[in-house]
Amino acid sequence: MIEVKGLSKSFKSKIVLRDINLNLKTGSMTALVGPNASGKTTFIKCLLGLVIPTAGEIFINGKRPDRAGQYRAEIGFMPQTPLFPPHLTPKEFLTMLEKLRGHPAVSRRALEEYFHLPPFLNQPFHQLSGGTKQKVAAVMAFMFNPPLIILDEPTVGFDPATNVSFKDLVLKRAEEGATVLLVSHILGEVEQISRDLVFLEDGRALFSGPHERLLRQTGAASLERAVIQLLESEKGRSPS
Amino acid sequence: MKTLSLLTWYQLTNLLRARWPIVYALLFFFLGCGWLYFAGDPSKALAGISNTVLFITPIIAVLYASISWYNSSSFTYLLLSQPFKRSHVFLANWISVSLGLTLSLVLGMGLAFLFYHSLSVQSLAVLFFGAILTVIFVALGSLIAVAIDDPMKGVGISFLMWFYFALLHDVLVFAVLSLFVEYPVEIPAILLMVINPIDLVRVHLLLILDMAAMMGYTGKILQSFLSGTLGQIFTLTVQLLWVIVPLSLAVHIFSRKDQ
Repeated sequence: MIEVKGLSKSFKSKIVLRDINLNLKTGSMTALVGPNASGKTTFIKCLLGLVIPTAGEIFINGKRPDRAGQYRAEIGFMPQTPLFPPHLTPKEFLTMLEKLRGHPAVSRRALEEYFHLPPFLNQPFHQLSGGTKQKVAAVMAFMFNPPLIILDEPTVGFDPATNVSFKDLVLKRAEEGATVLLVSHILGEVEQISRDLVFLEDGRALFSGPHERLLRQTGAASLERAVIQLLESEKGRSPS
Repeated sequence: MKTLSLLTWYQLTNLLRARWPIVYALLFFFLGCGWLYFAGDPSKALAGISNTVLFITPIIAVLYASISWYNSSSFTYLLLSQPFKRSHVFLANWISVSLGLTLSLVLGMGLAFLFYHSLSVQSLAVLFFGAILTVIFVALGSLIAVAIDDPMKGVGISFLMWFYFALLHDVLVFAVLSLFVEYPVEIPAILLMVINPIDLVRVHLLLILDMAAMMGYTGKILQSFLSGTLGQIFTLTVQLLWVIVPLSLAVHIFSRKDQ
């Protein structure tokens, strides 16, 4: 599904991604984890074709990300803090996306109900809470039933009940065959809605593989401790 | 084309529901009413309104275009994650801001003309050239915002650009032409005019209104050159270039930009 070969990205003299090699298979659930400024967002932007890599190649379903962006029809993206046009309503915004793509979204109505959105659909975005906007972002990401779902810190702003519903939805879509790439700082969430983990630190992928392998490799009792151990061992290795 | 028109429609809807278009339209309405009420003579009022439009529309357009581009960067990011072309996302923003500002100008000033029974070919020409200036300066503001990532710097440069075109340019032209007063200055004057869209529109508008007395220094010199049909075609073409060149540059930069 996603093949990344030798991906590097620099912004002027600042190196953000260094020789990343990854292979995410169809139907996999992978979490992208790492401290702040480790290159997670830039990596996602490379996948979405928003940032042009300095070196390396990316293939999504065999297609290279390009600026025309037609390949993005197969991607459902949920940003961390979506900023919607303040004077449009969620109903208008979602209809706009349907019209722009030229076909109705198969799961739109069901998702609106699932996230209890109907009472808010006709209110302008500037009147909605952050959590409600995040629910609209979730509908946006899932409504076209995309084969690839990219979630950037998706549960920030969700109440506990919505949090659980959202995780259930992600698991259901993965069971149905969608490939999920999750960016999150919440390792409990990573444990629940991913099977594989990519750990980025200073633009390098320090670990890439199943959770179990990381636990075995570090000897830690939990994923949280394993990640911290990984980070500390890397700090010990790098010259200070 | 369908993507562009749909994106433009929704962005324009979003813009028109905000308060600023009403405030902007009211500003023009009251300024128009003020001139028409106090000037007494309709031709004097029209000259005053022309100067007001030539002064206000560029600064509002350039500042609004750059500020709104910076403010909507997260929404732009959201749109760019969808299967749409970058050029469509950019152009939809330019068209919707241009249309929004033009609608406010035409409604505000148009209602003032109607209110004082002053709607005429000349007053429509003022609205038309106000719209042209709006479209040009929205293109320039969008180009600045796309090219410069830092919003403070971008808005500052937008303001300085307006300051140069609206105030400094004519002083510099006057100085240059005064220095070379013994030489034929018509050709250099035309060149100096085409590099300032406000001068260009001012000259064209005042030629149409037959108000040579209201022209700036550049305009006076150029009257004899540009008052014919060829002159009008020339100025309209250059005005068109003032839209096409910044837009093409902005689309070129935006299409290759990391965002």
